[in-house]
Amino acid sequence: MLKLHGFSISPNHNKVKLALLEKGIEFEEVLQRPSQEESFLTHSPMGKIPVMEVDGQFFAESLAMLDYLDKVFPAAPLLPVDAFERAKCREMMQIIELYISGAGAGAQLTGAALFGAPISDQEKKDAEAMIARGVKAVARLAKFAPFIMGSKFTQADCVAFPKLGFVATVTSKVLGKDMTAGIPGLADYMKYMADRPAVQKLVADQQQAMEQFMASQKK
Amino acid sequence: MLKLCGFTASNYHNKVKLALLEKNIPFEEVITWPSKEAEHLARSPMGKLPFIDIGGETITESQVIIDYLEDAYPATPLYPSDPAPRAHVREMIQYIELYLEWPARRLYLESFFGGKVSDDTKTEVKSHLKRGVNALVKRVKFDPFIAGKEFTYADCAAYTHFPTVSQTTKAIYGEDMLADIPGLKEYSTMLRQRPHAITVNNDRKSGMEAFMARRK
Repeated sequence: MLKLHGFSISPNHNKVKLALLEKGIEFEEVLQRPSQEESFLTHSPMGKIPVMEVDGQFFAESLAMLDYLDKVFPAAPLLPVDAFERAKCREMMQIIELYISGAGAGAQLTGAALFGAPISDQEKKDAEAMIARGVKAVARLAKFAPFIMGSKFTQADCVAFPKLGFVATVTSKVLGKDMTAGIPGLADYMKYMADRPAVQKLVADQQQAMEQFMASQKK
Repeated sequence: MLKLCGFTASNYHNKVKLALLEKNIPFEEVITWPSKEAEHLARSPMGKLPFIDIGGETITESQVIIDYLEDAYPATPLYPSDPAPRAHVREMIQYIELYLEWPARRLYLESFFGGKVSDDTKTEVKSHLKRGVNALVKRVKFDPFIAGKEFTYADCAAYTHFPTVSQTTKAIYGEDMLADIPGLKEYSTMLRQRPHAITVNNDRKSGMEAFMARRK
């Protein structure tokens, strides 16, 4: 059976988990934290989670996993058939990934929000500026009809729901304001998504993991 | 005809351009400069380059463009047809872009444009780059291509980003941080000799002057 190694607080983990749940693929979740241990790096060269294991073969990088899942399990496809519409879904995913929750700004804000890591005023300012641009771009491209890219649930929803939810929490905590509030229609979309059985399972697991995590931080 | 909008000094522009050439897709190159004007943002929501224009509709983000090219022009595929090796090619592109080129980008102000980057930033970027290099070492094949026997999009990314990262780390740290990757030198020499790579590189050289002149 397919194994997803990671933990349910991570939006990157939840992105892949949501795709698995929505596609109805059977999988086993294995608890794994990010690690720089050499044994883990052979499976995930950057030490990141999630990692997907299929018949002893390991896959890193969540977007590559989403693409893989649609190729291997073509039933319940999570991308439109039309090449241009597909590209617009992927464009949305990339903008959320790179500029809103991305490698630069996102990592520092996450560290500050979850672990109380130090963050300078300049870093906060830079993060805010980058996210503000990303938010405008998402507002320009999002359809919310009712899904983020139109009438069908797609990979872009697998990215948007966990990632934008996480950014809302993190920016509220560190910058004192929910930066995603600048996306008209997002609040209703998040509520609409929350009614989906797959999303309910995702959120319940996440809350449970978060409580355990917070308890462990207090010790 | 498909239009590639951007400027030839950009490594992301050149990654897409090399893919278009390798796939024999006819295209028109429209030199376009970064801008925050509303008109530009309507075409490229983050204001970024390159983007492609297909009959007035646009697609941004080089990785997204590449996936589109593969979907819309399936002849001459540049992804493996099997899902597992395909996923590993995408993974490789992430290592090259997200974990090498993206952190190195924070140094370009000093390495290319005569500005100054703080020592803290240099130290932080170096630790990111080390991780990126270590990740790459675990996955590169150079057999003879970066992900195996076939030329793929990962080679398009490697071709345009590696020299930029090498030059930058040499300028900032006094050492080329990619130099220790076994086989990389021979691989890069082999890639540079591909006819389409030569075209891209010649255009880059002439485009670089125009780009530097604009920055002044």
